[in-house]
Amino acid sequence: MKDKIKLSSSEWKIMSLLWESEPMTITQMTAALNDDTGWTKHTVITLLKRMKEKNVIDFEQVGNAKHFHTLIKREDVAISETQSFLERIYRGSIGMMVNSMIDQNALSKEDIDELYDILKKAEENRND
Amino acid sequence: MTEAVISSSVLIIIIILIRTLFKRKIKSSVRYALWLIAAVRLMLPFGLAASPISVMNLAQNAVNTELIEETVIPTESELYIPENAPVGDKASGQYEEKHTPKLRPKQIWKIVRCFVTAIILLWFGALNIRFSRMLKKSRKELAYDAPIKIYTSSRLISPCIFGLFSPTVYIPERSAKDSEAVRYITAHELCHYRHGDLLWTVVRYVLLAVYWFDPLVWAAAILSKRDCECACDEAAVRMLGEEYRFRYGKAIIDLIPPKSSESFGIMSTSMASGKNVLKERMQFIAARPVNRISAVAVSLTAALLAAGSTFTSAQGIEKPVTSATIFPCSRFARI
Repeated sequence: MKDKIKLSSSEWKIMSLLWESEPMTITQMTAALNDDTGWTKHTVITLLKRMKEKNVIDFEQVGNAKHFHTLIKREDVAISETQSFLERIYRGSIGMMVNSMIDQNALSKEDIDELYDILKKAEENRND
Repeated sequence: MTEAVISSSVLIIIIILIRTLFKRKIKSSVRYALWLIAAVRLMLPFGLAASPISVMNLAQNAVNTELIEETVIPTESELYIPENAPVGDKASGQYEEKHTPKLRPKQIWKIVRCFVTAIILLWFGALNIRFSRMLKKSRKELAYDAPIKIYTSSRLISPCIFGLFSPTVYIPERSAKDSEAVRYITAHELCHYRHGDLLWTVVRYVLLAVYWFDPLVWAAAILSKRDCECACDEAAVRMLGEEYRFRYGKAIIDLIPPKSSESFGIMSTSMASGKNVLKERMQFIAARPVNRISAVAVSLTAALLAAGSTFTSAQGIEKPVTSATIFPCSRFARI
C-alpha cells in the first residue's frame, strides 16, 4: 500500500483551496485564505516553498506571477492533526461554538481498525 | 461567587460519581440531562432559599469570612488620634491618608477574574465570527429534504451544525458524495438541533469563560460534551431505525482523518485520548442503550438531593458584620 503523504493542517488548507480551483497565484490564495487564517503573503509563500519541496505542488511562471497547481490527489493525503492543547486553542478548535460530529484528531490505521472491530463484534453477537 | 463555586463543585462531583457508577445502566440522554442541573446552578449567583440540607451550612465559615474581610475594620491606631498630633489641616490630612482604603486581595482577585473573563469572551467571539465567515465563503448548498439548510464545505474535516440564530448543517465535501453518509450525518446533526445543543454549547463556553479558574467546571465541560455526543448518537439511531445502528457507527468512523504511519512522540498522548473517547462512543453505539429502572431511580434521587443541597443557601446566615457594630464608639473618635 502506498504510504500517504503527510500534510500539516496549514498545508492542507492550501491544498484544499487548490483542489477547489486551480491554478491560483499567491495573491489569489492569500486573499481567499485571509478571512479564515489572517495569513500574510509571506506566510503563504513560506508554506508554498515547503510544499513544493515535498513535491505536492508545482507552479508555472506566467509573466510576473507564479500559477500554482497540485501534484497529488486528495486520497493520497493524510492529515497530521497532531495539535497540542495550546495550538488547538489558537487555531480555534477549542472555543468554536459548534457541534462537530467528530473530534478532528487523526488516528492511525490500527486505531481506526480497532474501532471498526468494536462494532463488528457487537453486530456478530447480535446476529447470533 | 464563592457560594456558587462551592455549591457547583459539590454538585459536579456528585454528577461525576453518578455518571461513573451507572455508566452502562442509564441511557446517554439521562447522563447528559444530569449536566443541565450543574449548568443551571453555575448560572445562578446565589442560593434560591435557605434550607437545612444546604451544603453551604458546612461552608458557612468560608462565606462569612469573605463578608468580614470586605468591610473595612479600622485598626486600633486609626481609632484614636495620637496625643501629640498637631491640630489643624495637617492633622486631618494625615488622618485621611491612614484611612485611604487599600485594595484587599479579594478585590484584586475580583478584578483579575473579570478581566480574564472579558478577554476569553472576546477571544471566543472573534473565533466564532472568523469561523462563520470562513463557512459562508466556502459553502455550497446541498439539495436535501430537511427542516434546516445543509451546505457542503471543502474547508471542513468534520460535519457540524453551527449558528445559534440560523442553525445550519455543514458537511465536508468528500462525505457529501456518499448519499448514505449524508443521511446519517444529517440525522445526527438534526438531533443536536432538536436537543437545543446549539444553545447549550454556547452556555458551556460562557460558563467556562466565567469560571475559568475552576478545574471542576472544565471537567464538567469536557464530560458533558462527551455525553452530549453519545445522547445525540442514541437519538439519531432511534430516528433512523434500529436496523441502521451499525452502519451509522461505521459512518462516524469513516469520517476520521487517517494519520500516516509515523509516530509523533510527545503528541501521541493527545492521540490516545482522542482514540479512547471514540472507543467509548463506539461501545455505547454498539450496545443497545437500556435504562435499568433501579439505576435511574437512584441517579434521579441522588440528583434531586444534590440539587436540593446545592441550590439552597445556608440557614441562619447572620447580617454582614460592619465596623459600626463592632466598634460603635468609632464614630466619636473621628473628630
